[in-house]
Amino acid sequence: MLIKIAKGNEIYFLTMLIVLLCESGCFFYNKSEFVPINDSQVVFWDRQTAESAEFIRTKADEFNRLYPGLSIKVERAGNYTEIFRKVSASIQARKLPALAVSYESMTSEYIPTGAVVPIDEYLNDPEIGLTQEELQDFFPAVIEANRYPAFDNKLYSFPLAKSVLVLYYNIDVLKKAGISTLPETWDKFYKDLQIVKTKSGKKGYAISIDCSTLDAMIYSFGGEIIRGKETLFDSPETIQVFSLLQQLIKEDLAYMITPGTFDDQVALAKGEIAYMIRSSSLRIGLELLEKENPFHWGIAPLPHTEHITPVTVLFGPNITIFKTTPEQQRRAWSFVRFMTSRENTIHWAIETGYVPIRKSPAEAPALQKYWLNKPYAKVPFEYLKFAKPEPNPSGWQQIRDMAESAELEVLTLMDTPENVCRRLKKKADAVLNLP
Amino acid sequence: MSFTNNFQNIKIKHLFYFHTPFYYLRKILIYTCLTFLGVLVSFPFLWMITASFKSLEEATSPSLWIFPTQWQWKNWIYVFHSAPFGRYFFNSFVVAGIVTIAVSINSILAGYVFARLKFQGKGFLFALIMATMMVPFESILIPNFILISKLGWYNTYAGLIVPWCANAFSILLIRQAFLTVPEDYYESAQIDGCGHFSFLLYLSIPFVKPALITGALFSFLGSYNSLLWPLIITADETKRVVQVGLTVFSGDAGIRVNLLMAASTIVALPTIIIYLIAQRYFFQESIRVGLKG
Amino acid sequence: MIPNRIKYKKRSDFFIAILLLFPSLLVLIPFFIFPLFYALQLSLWGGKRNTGIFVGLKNYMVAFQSPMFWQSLRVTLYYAIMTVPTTLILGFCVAYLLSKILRGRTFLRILFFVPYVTSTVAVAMVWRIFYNPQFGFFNSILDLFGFPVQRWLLEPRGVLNILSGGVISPQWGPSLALVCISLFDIWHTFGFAVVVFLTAMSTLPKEYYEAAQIDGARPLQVLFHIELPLLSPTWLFLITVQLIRSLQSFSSFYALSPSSGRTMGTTENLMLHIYSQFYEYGYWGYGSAVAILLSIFIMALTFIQWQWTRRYVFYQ
Repeated sequence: MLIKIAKGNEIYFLTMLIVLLCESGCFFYNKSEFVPINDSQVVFWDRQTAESAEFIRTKADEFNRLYPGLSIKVERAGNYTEIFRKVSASIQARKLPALAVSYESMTSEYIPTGAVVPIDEYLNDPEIGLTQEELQDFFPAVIEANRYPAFDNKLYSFPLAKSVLVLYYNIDVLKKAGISTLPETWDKFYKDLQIVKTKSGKKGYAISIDCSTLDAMIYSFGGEIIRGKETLFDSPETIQVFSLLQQLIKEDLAYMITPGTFDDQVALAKGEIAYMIRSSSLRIGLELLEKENPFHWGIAPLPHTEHITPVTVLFGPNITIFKTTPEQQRRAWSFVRFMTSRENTIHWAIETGYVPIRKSPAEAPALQKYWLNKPYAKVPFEYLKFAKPEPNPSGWQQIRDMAESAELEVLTLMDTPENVCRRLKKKADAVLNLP
Repeated sequence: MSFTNNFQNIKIKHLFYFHTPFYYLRKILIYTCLTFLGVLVSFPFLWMITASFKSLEEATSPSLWIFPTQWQWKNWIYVFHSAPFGRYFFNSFVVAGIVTIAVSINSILAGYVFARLKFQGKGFLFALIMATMMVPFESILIPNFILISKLGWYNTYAGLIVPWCANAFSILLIRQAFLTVPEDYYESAQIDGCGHFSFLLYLSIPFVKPALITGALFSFLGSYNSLLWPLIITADETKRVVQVGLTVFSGDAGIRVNLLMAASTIVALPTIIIYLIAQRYFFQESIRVGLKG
Repeated sequence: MIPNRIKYKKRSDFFIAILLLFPSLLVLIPFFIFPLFYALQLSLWGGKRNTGIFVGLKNYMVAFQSPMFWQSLRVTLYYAIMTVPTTLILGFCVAYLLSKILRGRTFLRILFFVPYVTSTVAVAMVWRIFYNPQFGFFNSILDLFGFPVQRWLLEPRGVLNILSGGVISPQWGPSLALVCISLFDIWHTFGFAVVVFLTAMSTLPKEYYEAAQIDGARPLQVLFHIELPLLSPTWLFLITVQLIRSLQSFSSFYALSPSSGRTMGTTENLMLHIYSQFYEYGYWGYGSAVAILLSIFIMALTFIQWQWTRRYVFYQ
């Protein structure tokens, strides 16, 4: 019923299909020049929602007003995953937006296709570049995170807004348990959770499975993640991290939340848990919850092991500039420069949950006044100098997923940390060493 | 005609014949079953509606009691103000409406061909069209995107509409409906000198009307609820559809569950109304088919 | 009369058929069949994002040797086995009961159809809250009856392992997380089956019922000897469509399968496997190869299913 090709006349269809096959090859396999998706406007694919989106839109209008030229057009293109997909398709169609927000792992996937413009050439431009003094004003780690060692160490993206991984705590819960100092070490963190458990019977920490958190924990144990073409997931530090997490689950001191949800924020607001480890930009959510139902909370640096300086990882969007036309590229860079000016980083920090990426805003009266009202908002900024970028080789996204899968394996007590780490390293190394 | 008479007879018979205790017992059993299942099935939906009136904290922590302690009307006000829903609805209705009409026309024509016409290569063509149903959409996304941007249809209604104007699913649905129409019927019409088009228009469509409306409803829902393609193919607010508008509330800052629920309820309402209108037509009383002839 | 009839039989309807099919083919060929060939081409190339060299059939070999591929194939099959029969049988039962009542049927029909009309994103969020591994709705029910709470979407252990109290190996059978996704999908799509069955039931010729009544047949006899055989084309249609849908189910998985590691791969079906390999990791060649394998697999399965069920289908 379905296929009866053998009949006489149908040879026509077959020939037609073979022609189609060849056509499809010629049609899609092109390597022509990249062109802008919109000739008359500089299109910026953004992911922000609500207040942050409003902020970026106002800033783009301001930029267009202050500096006449091709106008910047902000388009909300979905979340990171969706933007990544849209850009991948656009690269193939050879029609690109002028600039888009991205994570390092996304940019390192775009670079090999030749669609990304290195920003180094604009940095030294006499007209629209940045002076040495200005460049010094940025936190070194923030710029460093956008250099890609696998691709000649060039600056293929530029920081837009940053946040760092921090420890949130519920003061009410800690008080009730009689804990008066914050955990500076992982040992203290573990003991605090035990105290919370005995005093209130509650699990004090909600684990959000996430590779960046793992990375930060490995750093804070004094470990490294990657060396050349090899991952260090079987290092003693990584095993220590996984053992600590497994121990917390075994002793019923912590529980997992469903990834992609923000259940831990709600739990913290309700006083169900004492600690959560999350990006500093999530404080906006806690402020919302606080407005509904007041509770006392704060932000602190991550715990670490003794003899190790505090350390954390960087989060937050960068901007990638794509190959379009020289005019559009220059205009795009001017906009990035405008968005990261001293003035605007201050606005950015006050309007949204992000941290200023420059050092000088700390003296600005507006920001100081803001921090006076919300002391917890200052902690991530002070902590920024300890931030370390995460690795960003090609294939990192795949390794992240593997690490998160391994974390779940440890947390569901399916296997011992040692075995899981050994397998994880083997799989991750295979990805890094792909031809 | 004798049909109506006959029909009334049956009805009267029905009234007297079945009214025994057993009959009532059966009815009660059916109603209990259906009500129980219905409440169970619609529970998550009801939960969605009531969650849209809850505070953030309450919305994320489900209890067996689904009603909010304090009704937060401001969620809905916020949602209406935070996105141009009027524009989104307009776009969605234009896109889904045109897609539905085009799919209906295309699937009547194609369904008729595969149900009734006889020609060489029919099996092959049918297999080819059915094969399009078996290709995972994910793997054809990129070539379609390239094609659309080559045609210059990026961020246009054409890009949103044209790729969905025919689908194997509807063709199969209509074909199956045409197959249930007795063969004799076709032949006698053919003999009476009825051409393909007039046969289709005046005689076939009444027969397959329920299937046609079901197909149209599913096309509408499919188009209205699709998210991935509109997200990829549109750029700005003027062409955005409601499902893309929803992502504003479910994006990375997905904490505001109550707002997402309010927005989802707003977006789901038109589909329920359309279902209400459609169901009056597709559950029509049976047509009597002249089987004896 | 007779010469006319012979003339009709002899004539080939080829041109009229092409004319009628033209609009459909105009859409289906460039947007569905053409891309299939594009995928076929891509699957012969290595590297990432169309930057590699020609590798022939190597991507297919890699797929056959990859444990991830086999695991996702298993997940896809488990999922089809769990969802298709349940959806159809449940759908038929509800439709059958709905067709037997008059009062309040509009309201009840809406209750059953409401899940289907709501977008997956929104209702998946509701279910994710219900499946909360700590304070969720399902856990409160388990707790109420004194059962141990579960991790639901985060549980990679097999459901058989949990039910048997650890006797059966945790690797065996679908994981609890997969069962959760199946349950969601059954809930979300069975309204579709209800509507299709109801429509079909309302078009059944009344003569059969009359004849049955005259013969004094009981309701169950009518069901098995009249309604089921008459509805067989509808069953064929629904089985075909639901089987294909379940094998390429994406949105339920995308919305509910935890993005971090997909519950150790136990909630990664072939579609999700293609998605992550193709879009997230950029292996266009490999992703396309798996997509082609999935298409072939679905076609083969549909073909077998069609041949097998055709024998039981009754056309008037």
